[in-house]
Amino acid sequence: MKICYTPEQQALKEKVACYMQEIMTPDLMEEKKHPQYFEGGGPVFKEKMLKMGREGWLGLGWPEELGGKAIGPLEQHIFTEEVMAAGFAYPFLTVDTIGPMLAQNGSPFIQETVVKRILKGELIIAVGYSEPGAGTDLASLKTRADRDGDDWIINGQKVWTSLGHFADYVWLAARTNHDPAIKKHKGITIFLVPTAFEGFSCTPIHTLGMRTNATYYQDIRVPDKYRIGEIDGGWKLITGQLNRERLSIVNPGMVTGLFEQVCQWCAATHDYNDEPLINIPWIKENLARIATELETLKLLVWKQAWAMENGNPEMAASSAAKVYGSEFFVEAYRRMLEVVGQAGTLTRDSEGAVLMGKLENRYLWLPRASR
Amino acid sequence: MDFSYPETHIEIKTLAGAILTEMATVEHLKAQEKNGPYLDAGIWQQLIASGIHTAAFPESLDGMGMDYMAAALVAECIGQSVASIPYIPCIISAALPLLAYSSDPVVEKLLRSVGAGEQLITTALIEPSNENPFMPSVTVVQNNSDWQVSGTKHCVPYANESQQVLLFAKNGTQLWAGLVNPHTAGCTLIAQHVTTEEPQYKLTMQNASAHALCHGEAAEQLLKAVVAMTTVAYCSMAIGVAEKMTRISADYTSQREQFGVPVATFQAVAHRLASCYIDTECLRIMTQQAASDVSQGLYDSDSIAMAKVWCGDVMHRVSQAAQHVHGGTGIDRDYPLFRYCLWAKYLELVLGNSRIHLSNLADRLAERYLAAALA
Repeated sequence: MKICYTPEQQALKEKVACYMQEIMTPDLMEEKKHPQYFEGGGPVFKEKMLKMGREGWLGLGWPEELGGKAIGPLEQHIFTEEVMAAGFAYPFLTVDTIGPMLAQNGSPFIQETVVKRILKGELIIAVGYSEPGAGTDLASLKTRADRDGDDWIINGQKVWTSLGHFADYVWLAARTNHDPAIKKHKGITIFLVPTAFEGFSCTPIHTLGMRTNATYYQDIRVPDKYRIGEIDGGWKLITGQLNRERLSIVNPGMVTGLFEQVCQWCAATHDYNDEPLINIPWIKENLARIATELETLKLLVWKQAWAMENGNPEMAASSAAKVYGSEFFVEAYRRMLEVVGQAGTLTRDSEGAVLMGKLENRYLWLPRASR
Repeated sequence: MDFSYPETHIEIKTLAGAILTEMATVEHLKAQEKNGPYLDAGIWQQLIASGIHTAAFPESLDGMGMDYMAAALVAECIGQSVASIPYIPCIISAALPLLAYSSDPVVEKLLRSVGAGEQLITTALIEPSNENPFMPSVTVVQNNSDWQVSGTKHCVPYANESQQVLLFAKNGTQLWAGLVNPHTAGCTLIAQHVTTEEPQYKLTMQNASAHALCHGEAAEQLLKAVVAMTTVAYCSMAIGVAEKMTRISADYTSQREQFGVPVATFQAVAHRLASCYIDTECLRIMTQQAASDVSQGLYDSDSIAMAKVWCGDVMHRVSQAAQHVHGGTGIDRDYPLFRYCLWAKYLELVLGNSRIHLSNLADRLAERYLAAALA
């Protein structure tokens, strides 16, 4: 047992951090200020995705035959952490969770037209699970896909379809079996629905911090080649994808970059007695508490990535990391905002905003990220 | 990065776990603790007979030559059983640091005897009104070739059962490390009564003669090793305690029926115990990192203080949650849970509570960022 990066992993971390400085140009930062581009989708963002794809940075952990570099899950995790810490709106659901699921379960057609293009940075995929009447009880979803010759006709509505307003596809869960005798979760199939198809539409849901969407599916005719996995076999894909998502979504990179900036700010800012803020006992203790709990999150997630590499991920441990991470983010942002004080409530477009108003912006965004 | 234990470590943990589980039954513990604080001689002798107590001793001293990680795993097993045995005070706090930092033939002879199970040694770390081991008020003076120690240490585990006590004193402004025989002239031992029923003593010394080990920086280094190894060992023991409290609670709530169903089926109960599981895993992973650092000699690592912050918090939370879901049963002395809760309180407070360690981490963090801001 040796719980620290190997020299190669440390080198990778530094290389990615360095590369991300090149990506985070002022025009991208400026574009990110628009709420609709906060999670990407703007012209500068698209350009950067293509650049990262072209230069081989996406899908590092994917198999070589798919255009990846076949590095381990741990290295993939190091990459994602640094990209997030840099503040890039990295589409981790597309690249880290749906991409690998498509690579494992997609038809040759999907491999050719979708999987390869994800790695080139050309595609964004949104997730269509929740519905107005199906949230925690996801298996009760009502969006349906009915067979019509070689095609499927899809009808229904999804909510919280983040990125849906600029995504190229929706990874959609639809009911394909209506037999009341079978269990609800046994009649669901996954489709990769092109958003360009007729019958797809999208309206914004403006949430605290960012935009998400309601998406509508009206008589969309989808050829069978867009079906992923077995008919009625979608539940396994959903849980498989969610297992990956649970780890991506609690990536410590969500906090590391900003925490570092808050610590630096506390060392550089002096109070009325000319005392650096970081010397004030409660302030440094707030920071030390975050540092301690952040270290724990890092280790929990590393261990999961390590377990994946060694083929033995535990369901309970991955759920534990998700619960811990979600609760930690909320507490960490609270403590960081306490440190900055009332000035922490100044929004990023305001005169006098501290650290470009990032804390004000992200605490609004947290309740969603942590759910 | 590697989160797995080598085969040999797993074997040691399995063996220690088997002996402790088999021997430390509720009936056994009850009989042992009947007359107050005790050293569980039967279990201790069995660990000695199986060689577990010297797993981390070098082969030249008839040990198994394993690293600190193995010793920490044994401590974890002790937490599962809460048998009153001197493994941490004698082996981890005293013997392992001495092995690493002393080439004194007197020490080697002593450790050989400890390894053979003939003698016990212990470490005195705290004093009344002074729980900072690095700032002792006990003093030492040199009188010709003799060293004489004066002052008081307290809460010294197994001091009366030990032949030598490793302790630290001030020689003028310098730190000094030495061994004192607590039964020698000038030493007085008064039994103290601690919540866990572990035998502990107040050791008062008046010009007690001592065997000097080292001074100044060498003594600082030895003490750092003692404190780091002991702190992480108690964190490891806490993993075992937390795991066992959660297990007992899960078993109880799965069987206990109210309103016609097991109480574990209530979300309020299940969520509390799920939180205990998460807490335990957080403590485990932080302790593993700290143990990995200690076994590489990184006694200054932040990971050690961070592990102890978790240890204090988790011991408090899991203990209270376990009591909560048990209703009144948890405090019944005929039911096994209470012993773990008593140890939980001890482990929370031993060698610095969460707030102290957090405050130390805070000072270091501030220092780092201020230095960077100036640079």
